[in-house]
Amino acid sequence: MTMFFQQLVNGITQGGLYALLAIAYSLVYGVMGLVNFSTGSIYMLGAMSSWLVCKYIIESFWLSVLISFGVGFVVAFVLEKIAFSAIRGATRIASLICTIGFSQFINEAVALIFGKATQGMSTFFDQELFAFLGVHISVMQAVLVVTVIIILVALQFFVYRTRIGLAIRTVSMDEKTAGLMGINVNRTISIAFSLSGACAAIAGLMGAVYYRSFSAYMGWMPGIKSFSAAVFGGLSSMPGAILGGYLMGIIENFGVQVFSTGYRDVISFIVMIVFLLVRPQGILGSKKKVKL
Amino acid sequence: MLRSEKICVRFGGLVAVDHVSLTVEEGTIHAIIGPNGAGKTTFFNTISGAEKPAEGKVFFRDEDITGLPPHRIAEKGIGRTFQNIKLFNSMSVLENVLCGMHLNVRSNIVQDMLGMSFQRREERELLEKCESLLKQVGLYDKRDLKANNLPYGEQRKLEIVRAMATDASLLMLDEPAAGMNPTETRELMQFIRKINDEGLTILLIEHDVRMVMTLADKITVLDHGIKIAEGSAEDVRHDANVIEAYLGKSYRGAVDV
Amino acid sequence: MERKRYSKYNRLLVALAALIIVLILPYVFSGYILQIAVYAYIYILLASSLNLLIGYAGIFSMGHVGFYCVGAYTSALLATKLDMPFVICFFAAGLLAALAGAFVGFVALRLNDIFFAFATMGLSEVIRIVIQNSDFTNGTLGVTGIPLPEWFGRSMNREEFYYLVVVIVVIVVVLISKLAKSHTGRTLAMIRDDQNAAASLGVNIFKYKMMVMVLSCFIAGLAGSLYATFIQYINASNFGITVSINIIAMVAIGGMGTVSGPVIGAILLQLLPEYIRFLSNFRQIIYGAAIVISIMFAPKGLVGIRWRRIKLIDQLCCLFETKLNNEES
Repeated sequence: MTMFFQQLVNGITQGGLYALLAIAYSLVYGVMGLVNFSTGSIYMLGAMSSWLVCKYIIESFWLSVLISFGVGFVVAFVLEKIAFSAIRGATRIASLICTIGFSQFINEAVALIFGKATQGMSTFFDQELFAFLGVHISVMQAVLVVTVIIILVALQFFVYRTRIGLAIRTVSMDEKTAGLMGINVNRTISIAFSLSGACAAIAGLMGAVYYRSFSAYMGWMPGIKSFSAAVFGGLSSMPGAILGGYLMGIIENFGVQVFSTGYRDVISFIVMIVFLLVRPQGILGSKKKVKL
Repeated sequence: MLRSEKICVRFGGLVAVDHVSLTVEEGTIHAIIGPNGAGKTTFFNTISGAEKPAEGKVFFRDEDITGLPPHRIAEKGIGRTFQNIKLFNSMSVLENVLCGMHLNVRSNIVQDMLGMSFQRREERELLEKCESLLKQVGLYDKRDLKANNLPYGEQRKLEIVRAMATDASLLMLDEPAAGMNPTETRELMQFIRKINDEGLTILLIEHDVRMVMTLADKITVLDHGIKIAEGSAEDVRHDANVIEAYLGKSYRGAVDV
Repeated sequence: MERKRYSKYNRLLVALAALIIVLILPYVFSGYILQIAVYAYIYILLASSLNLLIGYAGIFSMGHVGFYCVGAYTSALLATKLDMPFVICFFAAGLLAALAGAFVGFVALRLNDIFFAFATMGLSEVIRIVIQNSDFTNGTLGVTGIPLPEWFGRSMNREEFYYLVVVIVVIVVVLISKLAKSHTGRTLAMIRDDQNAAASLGVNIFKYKMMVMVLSCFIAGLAGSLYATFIQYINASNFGITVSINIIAMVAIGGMGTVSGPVIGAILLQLLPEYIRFLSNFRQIIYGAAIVISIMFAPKGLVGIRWRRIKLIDQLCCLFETKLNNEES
């Protein structure tokens, strides 16, 4: 039983991280119907910037959050300009390949500058919050869970209660009509894309704090897994992506108990593939109709 | 030739096509008209296999083709064009027509790789056929142009030629005159008339009422997914239902051409 | 017309020159450089086969390395555990990879492009992780002592194997070029351009996608077998996603949907970092940057650039052509 609750707590912490990344995918997919393959790299950049802040400036969690947010936002903004805006009219595959190239470039550039090895990250909120029947919950875990929830709520507010959010939702439904209604489609896409980058970067910071490490290649696995999570919950729906993220975190942590740790990374792929086959729109997503 | 029996298509709660039955006679030009959202294109897509009907059956030459996938429908001899032109834009005009020949190609992937003489001879024959087809319709001079570099009217025409290349016996045209100027429309009408005279049965959806009235042998009127009238241009023109529900009183003048 | 004749002549000349270089390479160099050359040839197979999917059929696979891996392991295990001769290992590798491709295709080809990309990426990782954790495949230790093929009662040396690889690559590239020009190639292009239109003309899209998937994976499997046999040692950790990305880079930079594109892309991206010393540290960065730059500025790849548009090159070419012409007459 203790084990069960401990895994649940760990799963929720990790799931929050996946949820943020899944949201990042969902935002971009919503407005463009495409996926940014370098989401994982932006995750890594978020981790890197917080690592740099803590190492060279000040060991502050909240400042790191702010900086990561900024870095993710800016990098995604630039990426959108290069990989999508600049090559409007190119095929979808070209755009996808371009984001892959970007991702490769970011990862390797960071590896070249800071080395390929895993670096230690300063620890925050290390003390134990409470232990109940052998279930340990640290302050750090609590802070992560709460921060993720705050961000998710803020994002929901942003998307459903503000003008820009309305624009994002409109473009998601029908880009052409949105444009005819006087919405600046390019700017809306750009904002949604940048916001998705910011989410990914904050997820990266959380990852760095949670695993207490940073490395140039740390973005790969979370990047793919959280896409699986987004598919699982429903890529076309933001609540779906969040749900998928949390469920994936929990499933993975329980899965490790059942299978050996070597197969840890396989679990999320299998969940994704099964869902793609059985219910490609995910738990909460809806099918989009293609017009002939 | 083509017969639909009580076709029903639903999207969620919406009934897009509601128990529509119609029969297309061989050798005729049959038009489906109706206001926007009348379910014309949905009905079309149901016949061509892109949409599955919730109820009802489609027969082609007395063979049940309900719910077959699009490529199987094409094999039966039903060709179609699309409302927003779907040409293969990376290819030339000639290649687009060659694509239409797909169903006539006998060589398979292995023979293609080995480039056997049989396959090369077949390729030459296809090429000749396509060139003669293009000569017939007057696009031969532009055979090497990229498809999307053609003027709009000729793109429509090319799409029809491509569908003809499948050796279809029934051609379904989805708003062939959409976005055309009057000259282009007139040319298109002559073209459709000509291919009909050569033996092709034609089923078309059209917005241009003037065109339909002069061209079609038989007209079916849909409104909100329901068939409200059917008959010759003369019948439909005087049908009270059509005037009331579709055209409205103020448009009566437009019909009396 | 005049131009056309010249360009055909030029192309023949380039091909001849390339062939001569390829053939005399083992006499001039040995060891390391020969190894790099064989890698480049293997990458030609991989890039050409991936190009069938990405460039011709518009199927965006990010898991090509998975089939390469299946081929390499099939060949290696058959050779070491069952002492099978090379011919059997080689074709078994292709067949098993094709089988894996058929399975993946059957599972994933109904999905749209993005989901397909992630599904294949996920499956290739599943393959790698399962191999890494299974005792049957020697887990993380990898398979060692894979023998070179035998002929005339003795084992081939590496130079002879080099020629074998060359012959196989040439055959595969020629077959692919024939396929591309045939009706099947055109059908794939239809599917890439507009699936609805293709279906309305009677194209069974799923069938064609499956066929090209199986063919592409078969070739990737053959490449895997050649790789395993040549370096005689394989380890699952060498079959990570990076390899998939490198292959995609080769296709994108050389030119998607062309026969010569992936060949040029593979040679260039494989050789440049090796021969230009200071570049080798930057290898992966170059791949990444090259993808972005080529997609932005040369979306049709190196092959698609109209070199003649660049004045200096045009002048040089003209000079060369007149000189040749003079010599001829």
